[in-house]
Amino acid sequence: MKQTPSINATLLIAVLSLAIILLLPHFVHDKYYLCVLSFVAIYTILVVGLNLLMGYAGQVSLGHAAFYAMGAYTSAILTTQYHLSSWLAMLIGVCLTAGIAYLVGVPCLRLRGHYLAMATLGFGWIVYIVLLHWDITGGTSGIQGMPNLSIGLPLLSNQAGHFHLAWSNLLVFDNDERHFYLTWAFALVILIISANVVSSRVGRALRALHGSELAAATLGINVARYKVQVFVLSAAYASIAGSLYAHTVHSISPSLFGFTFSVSLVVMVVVGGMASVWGALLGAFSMTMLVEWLRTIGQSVPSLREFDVIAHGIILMLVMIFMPSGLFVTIRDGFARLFRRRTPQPLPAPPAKEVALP
Amino acid sequence: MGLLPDIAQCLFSGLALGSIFAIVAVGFTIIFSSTEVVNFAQGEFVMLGAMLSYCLVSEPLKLPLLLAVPLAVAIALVVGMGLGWVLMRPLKKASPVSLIIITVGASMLLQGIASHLWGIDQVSLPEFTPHDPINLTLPFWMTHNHDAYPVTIQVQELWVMGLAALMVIGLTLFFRFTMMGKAMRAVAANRHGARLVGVNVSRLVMGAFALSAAMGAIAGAAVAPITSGQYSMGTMMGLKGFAAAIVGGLGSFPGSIIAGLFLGVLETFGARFLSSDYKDAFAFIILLVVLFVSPNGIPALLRRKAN
Repeated sequence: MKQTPSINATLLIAVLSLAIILLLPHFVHDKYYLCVLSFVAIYTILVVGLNLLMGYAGQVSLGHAAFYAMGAYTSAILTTQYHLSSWLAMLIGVCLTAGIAYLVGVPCLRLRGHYLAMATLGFGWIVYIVLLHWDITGGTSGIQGMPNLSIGLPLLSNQAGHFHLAWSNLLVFDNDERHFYLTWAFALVILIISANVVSSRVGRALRALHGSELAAATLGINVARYKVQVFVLSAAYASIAGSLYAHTVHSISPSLFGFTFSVSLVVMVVVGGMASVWGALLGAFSMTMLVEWLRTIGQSVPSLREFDVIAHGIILMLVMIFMPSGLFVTIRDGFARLFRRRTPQPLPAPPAKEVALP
Repeated sequence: MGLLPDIAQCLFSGLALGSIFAIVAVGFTIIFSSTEVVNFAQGEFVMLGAMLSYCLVSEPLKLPLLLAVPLAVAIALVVGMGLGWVLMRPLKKASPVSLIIITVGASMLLQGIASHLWGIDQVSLPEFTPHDPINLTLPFWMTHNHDAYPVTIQVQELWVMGLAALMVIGLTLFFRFTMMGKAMRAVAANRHGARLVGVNVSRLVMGAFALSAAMGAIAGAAVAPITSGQYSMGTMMGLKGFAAAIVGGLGSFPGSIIAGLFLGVLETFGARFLSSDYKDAFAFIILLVVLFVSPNGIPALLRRKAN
């Protein structure tokens, strides 16, 4: 069983991340890369949830993009068509997504095996097809024009004898730099919450059931209930990420939420290392950067049509073949081996036996 | 247009479409039962069959169809063996999730190469035997309206069903009478046991991949004249075949075939009578319903009822 990181270590990483996040916009002047880094924050939120599900509950979701889409579309529809407050829309999205995840998860997670993977795969496709064809979701063109998120104070204003509740906008998240801080604030809070979940009673239960469901059950852990809880939590995270995307990019369409994206999320989890909350951050960062880098190369060499898709496929295969436990676990173990070799051997090697060669 | 000819028409086209799903589902089952890999690149073999055949019959080469299709199937078979070879090493130690990601990577790679080579436009392969569609009028006792629209059958649909039936028969013979088929059944029943009695599992993995790739490619070449081919056609074909394999109880050949036919018929009926926009969703809705009701597929449900 994996050792729980101490609270101090978690605190250290959190403070370090906070420092990096606060300082980064001062060094990254390219607005485009600031945007990409905001995406990394959004993906981190998604990947943390999926990491809890895969690494701790031992279940895979191949349709996580659907929950992401539900958050994004709930926010978009409620704010553009019903003019609801963005925060309220986000909350409704989370509740709705969590409820649906519960309904999908309960029948599948009572069984052993990878039924959740198959059910979420089917569910993901159904959601994608509905997004494409339902008139409320805007079909292939999607929805545009979501408002920015803002922080403000409630003000009671009196207009012609009627009282109106209005918000004074103290801070509107309306440019790339503010989007960056907003998304990373969410990502950091969710990372810290998840790190706490992992080292709590729930986390211990989850690790136990990942080790052996039978053994966990004999210790009085309600295996199915914990698995459903983690699944619902990860869906709620995905919904938050979707809402953030809707309010920072202001344009969503079904192509963002397809099967490919669900798979990319699983890849980020595996590359970052399963059962590692902070690995989620690394996985999201490295894979997003890789895709951006491949796209840049692909654009600079127009003759290599579809270069990025081909290279992405090859890299996925190579990473999974040669580093099945993820990029960062492999690098960490490599370093560990490197340092172990430098320590002097206390015992002399036993004398080599003479081998008679035929 | 009467209701009855309509139903007959849907049933027929549905069975043709379902034959393709059934073949893909059987391909899934072959690979899953010998390696426990859920091969998400399965649909790409269908795409390769269609696109390679198109590539070989069109401009620079202009091979006759009779030569192009077997050649396309042979190339797909080699690609399938390549995928089997790639999976050989991780098969021994990697988790199922890593194996799934490898096949997804392979699927991206094949799709990327296909769109690089052949572009993203739809292409249509000529029919195997060019022939006007056959119009069948229903017998008079089934319809009162004598001007009723006849049921139209494309000859290519007969080809699809015929080839699917031939493949099923061939596969049955293969599993019953050849050494390799028997070895595959042995591995599916008990991997360690099979290894103990001297089955060469790695050769068998290659065989399983080659077999299901070739079957997928034949199905792809056969369906391309009807649905037209595109670099991305494999995704949906693969996933619907996957749905059929689950609905039929993963690991069961008759189950996969019946479930494939059923999903094909359901899709055409759904597209005709419910909504053509949502036709791609029906297979997945059935998949969810089956997973909730009887996660081991319909055969398990029937067995439970019988007991």
